[in-house]
Amino acid sequence: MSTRVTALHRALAAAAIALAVPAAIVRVPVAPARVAPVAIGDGVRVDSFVTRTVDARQLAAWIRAGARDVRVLDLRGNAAYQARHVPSAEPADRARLDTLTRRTDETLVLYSGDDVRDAQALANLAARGHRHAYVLDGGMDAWVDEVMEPVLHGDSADYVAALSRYFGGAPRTSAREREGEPTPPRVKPIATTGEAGETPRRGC
Amino acid sequence: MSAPLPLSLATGSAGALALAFGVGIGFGWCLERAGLGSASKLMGQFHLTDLAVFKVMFSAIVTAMLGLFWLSRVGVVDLSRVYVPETFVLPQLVGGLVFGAGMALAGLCPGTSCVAAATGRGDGFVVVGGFFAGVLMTALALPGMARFYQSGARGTLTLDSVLGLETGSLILVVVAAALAGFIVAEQVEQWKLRRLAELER
Repeated sequence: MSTRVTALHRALAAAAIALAVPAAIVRVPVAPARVAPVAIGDGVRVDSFVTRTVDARQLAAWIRAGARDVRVLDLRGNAAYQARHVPSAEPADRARLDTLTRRTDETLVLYSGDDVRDAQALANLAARGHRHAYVLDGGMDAWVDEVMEPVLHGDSADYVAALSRYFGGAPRTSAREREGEPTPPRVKPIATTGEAGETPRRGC
Repeated sequence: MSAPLPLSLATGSAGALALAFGVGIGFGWCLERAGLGSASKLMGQFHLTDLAVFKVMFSAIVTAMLGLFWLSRVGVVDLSRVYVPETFVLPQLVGGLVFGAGMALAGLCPGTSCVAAATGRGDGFVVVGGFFAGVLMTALALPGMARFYQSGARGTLTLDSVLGLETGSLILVVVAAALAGFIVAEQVEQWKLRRLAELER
């Protein structure tokens, strides 16, 4: 190794030491954000960046119950918002989320129709200390399918129908029920919140 | 894209994409200039004849660590907006083993295989194809191993919080370890090259 390279290495090492020693003396002004773990499924887990979702019927129930401190943000853009949106949703610009959501104690539900952008918006909210931010699972399509035009079957049919009519929806009866066949029990999918496949982890 | 960036750049905008492109070019250039686009360079790591990978990685860790600390200290970077990946003990342990085995077999990791492919190396193209196929197969298999994928979740863990150290103290420890590691790496390289020279004689 040439003398010049050796000298450069020594200078870099000295610079690293010169920066590291005072780092051990001073304190960091801002600690990395920590979000309290939340209960999901059977256990307690999660941090700020696992996408937390709420399904359309749960959101509908919150809105119908007049849950306080629930804000729904439509991130799809003005044209899509004007065409159709979740009742009580506010049109919001992703780039202005920080100015729209100053309070960190309110429950935010957002949807954009793009999983990646949903996750990024949620990550940004979590990084600013929002503990109760959720993505509407399935977005506007899920709202239409599960709330506005749900197919009724099983034990929950009456509840779903009432929920749908509250929002001016048109619930439909399943073909199976119309034909008088027994309806198989609905199997709840594993995914509710932060499940595998919903949120790709980051890596190199 | 991870903070520290203005929010408008962190939401998939054209600016974010342009910035990501620029960062990618810079990252690739650095990898190529460090010689990491060559599988033989990485093989030198496993044969202890060329520990450049170790030195480059540790240099990057020390540079990023000191840079982030001091930039946050002077108010340029908000550390609370820097993404910290979550820890899932078992899946990441298994993933690390698979990754390490693949790296040793291929002589390239995802980043360096892109660099190798970009410089026209055939092995780079093969490895890039392989990892895309692997990602696709894993994605298809994911629903069947959801329980495993979520196991051992510990949230975001950082070394300082696990060890109960002040961030600055941890930085000093890591820098000292890196410098000691560089000295040891030089000695190991020279010893190994001497051994090889003796064997050739």
